[in-house]
Amino acid sequence: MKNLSEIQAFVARSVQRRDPLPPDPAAAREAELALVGNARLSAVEMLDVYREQFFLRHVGALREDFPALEHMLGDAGFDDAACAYLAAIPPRDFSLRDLGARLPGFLREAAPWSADPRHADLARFEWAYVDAWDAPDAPPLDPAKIAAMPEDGWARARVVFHPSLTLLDLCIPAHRYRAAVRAGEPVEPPSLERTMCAVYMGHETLECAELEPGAYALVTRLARGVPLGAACEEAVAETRAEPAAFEAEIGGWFQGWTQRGWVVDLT
Amino acid sequence: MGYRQKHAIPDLGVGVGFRVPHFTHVLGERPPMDWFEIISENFMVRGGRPIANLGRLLETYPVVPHGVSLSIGGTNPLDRDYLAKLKKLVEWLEPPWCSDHLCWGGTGSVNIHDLLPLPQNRKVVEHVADRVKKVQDHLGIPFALENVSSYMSYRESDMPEWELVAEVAERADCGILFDVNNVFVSAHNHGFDPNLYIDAIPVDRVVQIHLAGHTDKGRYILDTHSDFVRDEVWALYARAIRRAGAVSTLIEWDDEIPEWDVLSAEAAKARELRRATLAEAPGAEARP
Ligand SMILES: [Fe+2]
Repeated sequence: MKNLSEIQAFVARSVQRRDPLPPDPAAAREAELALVGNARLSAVEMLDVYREQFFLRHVGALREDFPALEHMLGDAGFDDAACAYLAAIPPRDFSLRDLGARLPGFLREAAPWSADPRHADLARFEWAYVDAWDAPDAPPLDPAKIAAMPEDGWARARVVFHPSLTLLDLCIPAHRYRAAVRAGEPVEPPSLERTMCAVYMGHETLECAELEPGAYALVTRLARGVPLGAACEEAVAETRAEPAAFEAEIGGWFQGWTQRGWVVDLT
Repeated sequence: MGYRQKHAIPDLGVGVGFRVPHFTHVLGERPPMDWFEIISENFMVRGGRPIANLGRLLETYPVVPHGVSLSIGGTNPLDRDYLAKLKKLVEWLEPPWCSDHLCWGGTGSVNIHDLLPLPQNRKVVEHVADRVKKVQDHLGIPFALENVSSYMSYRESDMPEWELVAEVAERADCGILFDVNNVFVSAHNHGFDPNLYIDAIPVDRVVQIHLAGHTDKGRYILDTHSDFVRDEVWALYARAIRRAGAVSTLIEWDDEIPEWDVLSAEAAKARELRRATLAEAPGAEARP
């Protein structure tokens, strides 16, 4: 092997192999074509140092971002899922920060993890934390904007939410599970239970808030840019709520969202 | 005129890496520390806590960005998105220099997120130097390449590692971030004399020195940044300082990160060794 890109392609291919290279005679022969061993390590053992580091680094980074998923799958189970993910979707981004971005989708599609919807949903929930951590900043809503809104303007108003906010409709109470795992409490993986929640950047820390179905139906529409009036109608229809009762809740919900810093603008 | 002099590279003293376990202490108490190094990529993000923390750090300390993902020795095209984000960071920090590693880190189809050594030969020197020039032009500030720890050697190598480092730096007209621990690690793993390396580096190009601890894996040494600097590495540091003079120095501690006081004491040890070494060899300090 003489050409630099050929050598690099060979090394890159080798370090992504999950099993140790030295026991494989073909790998040992191939390593000799590119590398020179010494008194300490043979050519293939040198390559294997980088292979081992590849998995320690990437599986380790995924472990950090998905602690509850690791708890659910167990140590070896998480290793299997992470290695299968890395094989299916090799890391491409310059930063390890983005490594887990496609893990939820992978777990939804790939057997055996796809058989249990809790895996993908838990990963989706945990990824929201990664995303919220470095989301762009936005100053809170200027109260003058609320005061200046004419009474008949509300129906056409659109709400702009903080960029860190992720709204999630999950098949498990992932927030309670993750909190228990992170606190080191003994906890069993959660049973199926539809849970709607929001992950967002609080004052200094990442936060999660559970949402009741009506509030969730409304906030997801507003977050998509649907004007307040239409969003309320759609949310009422979807949740089959009594319109007057629904309308009575809106003020309280809105106040809660504003207090948490979710609402950054009205347009 | 030497590189340091030409670019008015300052001596920042002895600093440490800005790492998560110390964020609260450093930003809250503002303990004495000459300067901080940040991992560039951790702050090439959209906003949020990382940017807020860095903004607060800048209020008190000089900050120099150190990258790990440029892949200057790669054969796929330089990543424009990466360079744009790095430039934005550099424009904000206005550091006296920025740095990355003399290595490659991936191909077009995978990012290995590692600092892989390059074959040591003339063709690689040209390949890397051309890319360094592009990066320097793009960033518009002095740029330094760091020698990496290595665990493998290529059939295509026909010069010692220090020659690769020196040739690339000369040809690209860039700075060197001289990692003395990496010299020790590679010398051990490949069986060469680390003193030869120290003595061969064009010291006028050394804008910064790294010190770190490593892990003995039995058959080889791994550069883990998880421990105190070893005595052998302190000795190499003194040798490097004797040649290079008062160069900004940084303690890297990235794994099993100790309490702030322990890290701070390690920086103080480097500061004292640097002072004593320069006092013994007064000529060194005057050298540009
Ligand atoms: Fe280093």
